[in-house]
Amino acid sequence: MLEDLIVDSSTLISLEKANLLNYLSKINYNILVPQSVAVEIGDICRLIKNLKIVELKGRTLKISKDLMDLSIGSGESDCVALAFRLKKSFVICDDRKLLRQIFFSSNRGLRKIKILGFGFFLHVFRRENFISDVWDIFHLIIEKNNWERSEVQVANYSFLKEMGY
Amino acid sequence: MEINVSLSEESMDRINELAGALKISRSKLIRRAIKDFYLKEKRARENLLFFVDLYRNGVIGKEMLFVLLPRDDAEAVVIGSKFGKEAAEVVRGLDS
Repeated sequence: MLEDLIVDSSTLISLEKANLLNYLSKINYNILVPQSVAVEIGDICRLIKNLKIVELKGRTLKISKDLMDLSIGSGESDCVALAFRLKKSFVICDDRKLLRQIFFSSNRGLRKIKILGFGFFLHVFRRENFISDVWDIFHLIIEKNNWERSEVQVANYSFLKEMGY
Repeated sequence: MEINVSLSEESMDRINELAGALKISRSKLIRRAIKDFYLKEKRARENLLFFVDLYRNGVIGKEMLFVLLPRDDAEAVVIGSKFGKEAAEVVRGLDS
């Protein structure tokens, strides 16, 4: 069975800007996006074959609303709530605001969630030999998304360095 | 070169206090502040990832980051490094 990855619009849009979406359909993961994220990314949904849209209901929806009360964006809140429901320890998101909110949050549940970024996909693409080097693409994504000197740049850079690139 | 700057009363009080404490003129104080700010900004603009490596490898700590870089950049290094390290631990678990 394929592993499910919960992915936010920020990461998917960044991959789209670097023309990397075609590789997403070839990896051995299911890409799960909440309905709110699907709305944010629009036509990108149709370009990823292994993408599934999930509608939040009941308690999950309530958790998401509670997160939104902490000023977390609706897409990010839905991703984190979905991770709680599916008992996932992480979501994939490149939202600077979310990183800062989790870092400074006193909410224990929220602090337990780990955040992976687009660097995770660069790692997978490299492992599958879809790309020959991660660094050129890393710098391209940072530039195209105006993420220079941000938490997102540092997090993805640190991740790739930790992974030995 | 001379320039005229409009300052609030609070800023003027601070300049006077610092100039008095450091026993330097207000002009010299402002020149020094601009130089410090310029250096911090230049380091961040041109070498942020170098400072990320220094921090990740334990060569410099949080306090030194805030001395060397503008506050926003120092925060980005501290926060981003934490998330990057945690992400790598998660992915090593997935890969194994």
